[in-house]
Amino acid sequence: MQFLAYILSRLVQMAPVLFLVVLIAFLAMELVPGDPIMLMLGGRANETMLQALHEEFGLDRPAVTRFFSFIANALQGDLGTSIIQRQPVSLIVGERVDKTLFVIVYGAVLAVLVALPLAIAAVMRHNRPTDHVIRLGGMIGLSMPPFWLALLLIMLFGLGLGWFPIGGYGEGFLGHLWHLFLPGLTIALFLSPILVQSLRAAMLDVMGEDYIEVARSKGLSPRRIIFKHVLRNALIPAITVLSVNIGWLLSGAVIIEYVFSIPGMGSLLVRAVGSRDLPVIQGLTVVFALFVMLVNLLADLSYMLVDRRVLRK
Amino acid sequence: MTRTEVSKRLRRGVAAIAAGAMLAAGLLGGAAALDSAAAGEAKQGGTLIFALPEEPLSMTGFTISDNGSIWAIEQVCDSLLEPDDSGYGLRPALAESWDVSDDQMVYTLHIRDAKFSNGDPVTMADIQFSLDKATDPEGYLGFVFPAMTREVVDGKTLKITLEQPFTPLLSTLSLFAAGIVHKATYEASPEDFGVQPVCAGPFKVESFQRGNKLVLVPNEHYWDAQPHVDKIEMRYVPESNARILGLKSGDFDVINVVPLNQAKSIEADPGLTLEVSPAFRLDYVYLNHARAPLDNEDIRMALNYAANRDAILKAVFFGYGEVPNSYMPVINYHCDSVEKIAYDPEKAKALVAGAGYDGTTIELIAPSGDSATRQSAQILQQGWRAAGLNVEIVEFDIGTAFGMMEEGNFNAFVSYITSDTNDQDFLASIEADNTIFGGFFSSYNNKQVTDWLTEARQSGDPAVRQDLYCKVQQQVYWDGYSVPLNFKPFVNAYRNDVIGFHNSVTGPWWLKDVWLDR
Amino acid sequence: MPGEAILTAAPAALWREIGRWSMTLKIGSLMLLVIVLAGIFAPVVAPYDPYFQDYDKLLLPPSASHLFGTDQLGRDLFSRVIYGIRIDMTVGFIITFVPMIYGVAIGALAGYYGGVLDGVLMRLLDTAIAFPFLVLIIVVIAILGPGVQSIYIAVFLVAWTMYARLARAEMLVERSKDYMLAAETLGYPASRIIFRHALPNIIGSSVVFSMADFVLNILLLSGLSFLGLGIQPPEPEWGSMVAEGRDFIFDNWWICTLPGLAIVIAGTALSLIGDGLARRLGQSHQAIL
Repeated sequence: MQFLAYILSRLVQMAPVLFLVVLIAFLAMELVPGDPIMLMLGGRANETMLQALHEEFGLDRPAVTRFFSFIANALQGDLGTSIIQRQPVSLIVGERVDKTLFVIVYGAVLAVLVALPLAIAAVMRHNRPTDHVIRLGGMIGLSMPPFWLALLLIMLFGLGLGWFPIGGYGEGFLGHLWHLFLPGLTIALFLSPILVQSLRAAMLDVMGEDYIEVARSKGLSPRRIIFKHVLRNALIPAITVLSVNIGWLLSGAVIIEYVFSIPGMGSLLVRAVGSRDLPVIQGLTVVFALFVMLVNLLADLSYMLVDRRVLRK
Repeated sequence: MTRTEVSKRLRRGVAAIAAGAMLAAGLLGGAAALDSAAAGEAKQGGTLIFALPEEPLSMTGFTISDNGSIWAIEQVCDSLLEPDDSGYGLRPALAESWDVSDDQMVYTLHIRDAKFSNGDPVTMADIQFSLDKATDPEGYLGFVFPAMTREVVDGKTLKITLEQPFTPLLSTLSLFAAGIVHKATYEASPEDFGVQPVCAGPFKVESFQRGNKLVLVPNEHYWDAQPHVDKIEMRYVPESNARILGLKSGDFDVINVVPLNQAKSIEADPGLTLEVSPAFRLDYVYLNHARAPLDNEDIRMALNYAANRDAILKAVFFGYGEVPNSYMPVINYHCDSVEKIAYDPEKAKALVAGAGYDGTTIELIAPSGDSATRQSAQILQQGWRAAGLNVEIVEFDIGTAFGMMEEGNFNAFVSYITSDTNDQDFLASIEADNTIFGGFFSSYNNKQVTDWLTEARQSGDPAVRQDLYCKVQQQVYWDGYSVPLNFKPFVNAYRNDVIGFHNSVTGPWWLKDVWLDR
Repeated sequence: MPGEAILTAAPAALWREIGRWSMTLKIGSLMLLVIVLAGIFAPVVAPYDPYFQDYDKLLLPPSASHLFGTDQLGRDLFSRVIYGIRIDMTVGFIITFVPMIYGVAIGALAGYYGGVLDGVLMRLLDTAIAFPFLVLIIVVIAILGPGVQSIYIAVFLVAWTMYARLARAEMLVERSKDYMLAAETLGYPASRIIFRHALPNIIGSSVVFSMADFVLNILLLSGLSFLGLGIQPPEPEWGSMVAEGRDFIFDNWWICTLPGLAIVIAGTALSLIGDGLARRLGQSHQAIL
């Protein structure tokens, strides 16, 4: 019950944040130059058309009215209609969310696959050359700009070797895996240095704990200790790394999607901002914010779960 | 210039204002390429994969103005007429013939027996409905059409009566916006129509995944010969490297908007064809004459003399195009004899020195993320600074940049203009006649030019018009109206086994005559 | 306290202090020193004017006369990379350490006072994190115009959050320690307790994080320039050089590759320092993020 109450209180805390985010996005778009209808018509506008289209999209109403009707509609799951595409925002954004998520999750999974063995190797060879090489490699990896890395991967795997497609989304699950490999790898290479570092640090911490000493004195092999005791407890920092970086990842997805021609939320956002498609910008902002908050909540919940288990021990 | 001012200055009825300009490329014209001899031996079948840099947003012609949608709609929705192979004339489409009264006021169109892609016949009700939508003054392109009354004479005849003569009427009827749609389907759900349209063109939509691809298949009810290919995939690939690579590897058959630094390597590839075709397009720097220091003609001319256009043609356009001698694209009354403004840094320096320039910063706007304009801007900046002008490049996202231009809140803006139609008058008037559009963001105002343009518009004598447009071109160009950079052509590329692809001079292309030699 | 030890090390004691440094700290500091000196003495180090466009020398590959080759406008890339140090390192420094100051302060206050203040500050923090940065930066640019001041403002609005989190967490631990309780009993003003007594103890994790943050901020700056939202041309910013080379990756690999390498080298120097600082400050197991 305590657990449920905690979730509930966190969800309640999310409401004002979401409200603030939407409000700021709304005010910001009021302040910047550029009118969606004018931009859409590209110099062909005349007064009657402008007026008619402004009325059609409710842009002639005062900003306050629009804001509150947006909130009211959003609460009922209606995010409005895109001015440019004339389709419901929920549909347009919905079509994009899964693609962005796919790339990010793919990248995160690859990152874990890369980081876990490296972190274990570093811990088992602590303060020996293997460890130093892995740490140095991590520092270099962390310093690589994702867009630059993406271009290098395109040059190497796309142009040079021709192993992977350098753009698009592909068909079906395997097609996605195939087409999104380079973008996924870009994200993985950005994430894994951070992941290796935190896993390594956490495992070293755990290695110093009393019960590990006990296990060691009982004659358990280092390998067993690592896999049985240490790794499990090192998952928390891994989750933390992912949750702390989720905002970064979502923002970085803009560049990744841009370089690899992926029709995700990032590329939609760039276009929506460029054409001042206000309903889409707001819809994306809401989804973005919700996503960041949910990931953070999940991370916190997973600490609680793991912590309990640790406590029971 | 405030929005209201823009609107007030827009006078409908004066030679229909198709200020295509920046956001959308051409709307009209073009040729479906392919001579009939080649068509005789055309092979049937195959899937054509076309990689586009812009994605279609909606398939409803009268609610869009973006290139991606226009490209797609041209394949799916026929209008009453369509541009002919040359791109300069018209040929029948859903109207099989037409008569024009001697006073140019009454047009009688004879509609052919045609069917929509769902098998329903094209009725007068559908045509009336579609034209109502297209010509609705509050619609997206409504202002292109003149005031008219449409009358159904019988099930096969439509009579259009104008309030005053309007020569480009038939051209406007061939626009994508005037495509004929199936009324009942549209009315059932306008939103669904944008994804699954029912029209009477050579192709129909099989599937449409926004942001990814649009799949077209032949419309078996098409009134004319069936298209040659079995299927067309129009894929959205915004990254130009990915388009090039896909073309070279055989993933794509056709790509358009080829990055010019890659054009030579495509030309050198024996399996690929590079198409460089003329466009009604001028890349130029918009100047705001209403704002100091560009209100001073000497400063504007200094910008022109200090613009190293040869360097821009070499470094940015890789030799594709031509240094312009005009303030507008090359259209039907272009004047070759107008002398080009030479690159003359010394003269620019002298002009700046003599103009009493006070060092006010000239902000040169470039849309962010566009590497070609960014490079042009840097070459211009180097020359302008050397001439003694204080120039800063400022990159804004495209929405902000256009917003600022519409508000008149800019000095100079690197962009381009394209023409939607093949008559000189459209762009000449929009750009230079202050009474029509305020000089298209420039605030250019020259009474003499306005008079010449008015005279040219009313004259039926081509020789007189040619003479007047030459005078206008000479005057406006040498007034330092803008800083013209390049007559940029269309550059597309396709695999050698793609036969019959051709870009029209105003922008679109047609795929119904294209076939695959494999 | 090690933090103070480094900060207050007298010049005479400098060598003794350096003697205690780990190898990573030594190497990283040396690399940073070289980079900073190259930036300061750019006019001497760079063989060419980084802005000068020579249209007869477009897209030349690396050679003895042009170490990194030339770019699409005929500018010497090596000179541009050297001058780029001035921009990237300066802006990176400012957008890292300015937010660190008030971020730590906000976190310390939230952690010390708790209650309503904590709740409000943490919701502000959540908002800053949950707002899409791309929208923020575009809006700030649209209002203030493009350039470095817009980057500062947009980053300042969000970059404090990680420091606030770290400082708050540390303060929660520190708050219940004896010396804090003693200071409170003695009736010291809260500002003195927080900033004189607690701060030296809670700032360690932020100092260590700041090096990683510095790296990420250089990546951020170059990423913004890559999208055309950062430093304006023709300034030689590393990210914008990579962006300009993007169209040329087929035939002219050096334009985007070599400026990117500069970012990696600068970032590695900072990471090495971060690693060394963590050891020196007794936080050797501290995760980067």
